[in-house]
Amino acid sequence: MHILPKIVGALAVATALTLPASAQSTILAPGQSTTGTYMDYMKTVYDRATFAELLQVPIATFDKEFELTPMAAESWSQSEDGLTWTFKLRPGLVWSDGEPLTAEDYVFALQRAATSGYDFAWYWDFAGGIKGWKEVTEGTADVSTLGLKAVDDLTIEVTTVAPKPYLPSVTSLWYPVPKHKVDELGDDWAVNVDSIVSSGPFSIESWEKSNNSVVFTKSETYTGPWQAQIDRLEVDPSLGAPEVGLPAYLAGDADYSFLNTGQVPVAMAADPDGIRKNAVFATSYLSYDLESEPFNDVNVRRAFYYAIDREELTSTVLKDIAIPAGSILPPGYPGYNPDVVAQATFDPEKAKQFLADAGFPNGEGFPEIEIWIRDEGGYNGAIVPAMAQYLQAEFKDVLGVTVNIRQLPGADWMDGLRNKTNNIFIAPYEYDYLDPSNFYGIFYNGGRHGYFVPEYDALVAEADSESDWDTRYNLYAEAEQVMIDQGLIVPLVHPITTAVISDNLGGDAAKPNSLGFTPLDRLGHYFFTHLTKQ
Amino acid sequence: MILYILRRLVSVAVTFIVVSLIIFFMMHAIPGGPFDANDMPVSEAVRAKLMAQLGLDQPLHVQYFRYMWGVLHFDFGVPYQSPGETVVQLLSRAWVPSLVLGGLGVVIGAPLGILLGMAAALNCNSWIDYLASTLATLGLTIPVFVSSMLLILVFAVWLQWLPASGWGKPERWILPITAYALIPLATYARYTRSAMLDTLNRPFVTVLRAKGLSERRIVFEHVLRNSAIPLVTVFLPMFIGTATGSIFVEAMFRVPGLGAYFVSSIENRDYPLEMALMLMITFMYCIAYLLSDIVYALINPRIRVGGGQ
Repeated sequence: MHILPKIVGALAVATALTLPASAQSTILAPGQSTTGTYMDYMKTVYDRATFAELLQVPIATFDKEFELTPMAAESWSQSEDGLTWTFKLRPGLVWSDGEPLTAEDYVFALQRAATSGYDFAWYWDFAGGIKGWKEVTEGTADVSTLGLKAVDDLTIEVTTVAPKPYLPSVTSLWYPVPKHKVDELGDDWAVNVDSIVSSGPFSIESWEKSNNSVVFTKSETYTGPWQAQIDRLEVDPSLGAPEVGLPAYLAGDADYSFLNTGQVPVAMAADPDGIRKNAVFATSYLSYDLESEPFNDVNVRRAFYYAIDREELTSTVLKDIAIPAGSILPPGYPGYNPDVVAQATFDPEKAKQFLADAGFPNGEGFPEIEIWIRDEGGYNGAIVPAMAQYLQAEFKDVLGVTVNIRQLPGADWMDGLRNKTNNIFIAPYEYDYLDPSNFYGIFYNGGRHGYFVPEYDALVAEADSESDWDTRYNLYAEAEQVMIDQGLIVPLVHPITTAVISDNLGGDAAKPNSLGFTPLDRLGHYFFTHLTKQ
Repeated sequence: MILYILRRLVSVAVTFIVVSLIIFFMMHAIPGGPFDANDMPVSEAVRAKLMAQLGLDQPLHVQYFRYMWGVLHFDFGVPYQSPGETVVQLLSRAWVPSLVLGGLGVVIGAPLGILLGMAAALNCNSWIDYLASTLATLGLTIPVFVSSMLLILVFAVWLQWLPASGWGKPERWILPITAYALIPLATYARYTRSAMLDTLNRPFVTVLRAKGLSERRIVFEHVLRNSAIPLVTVFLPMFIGTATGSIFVEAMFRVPGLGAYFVSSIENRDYPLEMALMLMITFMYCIAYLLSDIVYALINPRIRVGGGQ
């Protein structure tokens, strides 16, 4: 007699349990590294757990047009002398365990990075220029001398060694660390799901360490901008290799997948609407030892500048994976200057003339040279070796110069660059922070290449600390003109990555930006909070 | 026999120590360390602090004895790449999928391979033999990542019968186990065929036939047993291969197993884990060969140690 109500009751409960579950939107995404140590970006960048940064709210971050958007900060201001920045935090932000998120958590994050961060400390000297940073990381000054101060719960003060007009963009990698958790558990707060707390748009549900896959859920405590529009986000780094990701995507086990070179034409033919391209902010360029033969002659360097047909290069051997580079700055990057780019033309006659002026008509008497390239993974792995072979043929053809290619492990290549044991290199560089000073800094006062070019250095130094954007822009353009006229480098190509995304995905993040590029998870905070799923 | 086993155990211990020494010092002889990234260098002060925390500032021999003292107490340290757990915990969770994948792969692949090899040997130079040999050769020559990709393409992408990759639910096991089983299948088919052909041509088989034994009894009771030595030789080591040999299969099918750790521990200079993995493999090989020797003795009285003469 009582069976019926029981069945009805059970059915009601079952329905109640299953309905919300089926209404949930879950995104299945590839990740990057199948190993990760700490779920804490401020402890380690390279070895961090999958998308650790999504759990925390940065001071500011970029949208898909690369506009800087305040996140934890509500506003910021620069002092008269340009040396001190004041960031005002948004009131009401909390950690997922209910503790208030304060300025102290941000200051603590950097103090800890300076004294025991794994591979990140360097950034805050190089990009941030925070006062006392070098001394503290080198162990010669106490951490309290850093130019960082929590004035009150909602105010952070940052002092830099020189005016840094772009400091707010550097804060896109400044995440808080829960001081109350570190006080209690040390670094281990970030190794177990149970003790991990979040401050950003997502919370963590599980973390499978065997492949570093993580399940995130929409945070219930986050009150800041950019709230998640999906309920769950499952990230599996073993889908990160396109060889695994694409079949899984085709079989419905992933919502998008990155593509390798061979897969691009196939996917473009099969699903043209699902293709998304992204210009990684990176550049491959030729660099020289400016002091030794034959590249100590500016005419030789100019000859190489004009001897490269970038259009042919990127429409043949690098089809779909790179676009021509006429500047060290990639398109869309702040400071990108079309006038500079327009000068990088393929002009065999000019190239021959420059080489003849240097005393090598038709390449006669020019020594055999060896281009050093670095072992590369990722997008560079597809680009650099193929490009080196193309250049080898082209330099022979246009300049009559014999070029050999040598591929070295990263450390040996870098050693060759620093100690100038070779005279010509193909060097790839991907941006570290979104400001022209990043790319121009590579060649500034020694920098990555041991270049010391006074005219260039003076312009870059002036631009770096100039606060008016238009003036800076022009100064950087002048500096790049020096690079071109003196043939310091030859910009070659900018890499393009390609992905295919499911038509179930919607929202602003799934659509290309005004340049036609879709940065996808390269802008994690924007992407995963501006994505929807049907 | 017992004395023989004891003697072998002592030699296992010696091998173990020698191998541990070689691995430990080779591992540290590779230039670089866990905090020597190329792109974002850690400052000297921070590096020194981290090295001291991990005991890497000590002289190598001190580090070695410390580690081996721990090993004696079943303490293999904490893996650098997974600081929230011990090496033992890591191994015990990551090994399970590898054992399921590799174990089932061998358990399914080996008998099928033996059957295929027998069919080939008993029908020597017939179409069955050619077919079996072709299959076995293909199985050995097509790299496992290619056969994996074919399986995914056919059964997951085209036919949509099975998931492309992943672990967890048993239906996700089918493709990776199939891909894995191809290796023992092909290996066993080749070994069985040649071992049986060898035995079939021996005089005692002619005698058995002359005595009027049925062909089935000759094959199953006499030929198979006499052909078993090479099969035993490859069987146990093949089982150990389940720990290391499935790296590609695990990567292609997203199996959260042990395979990837062999690569990542070397790449990340994760000394404790690298050491533990190598010692584990060494130990398993030692034991596997010991067991093989005992099994030889059981199935072939002529090599029974201390017996007979």
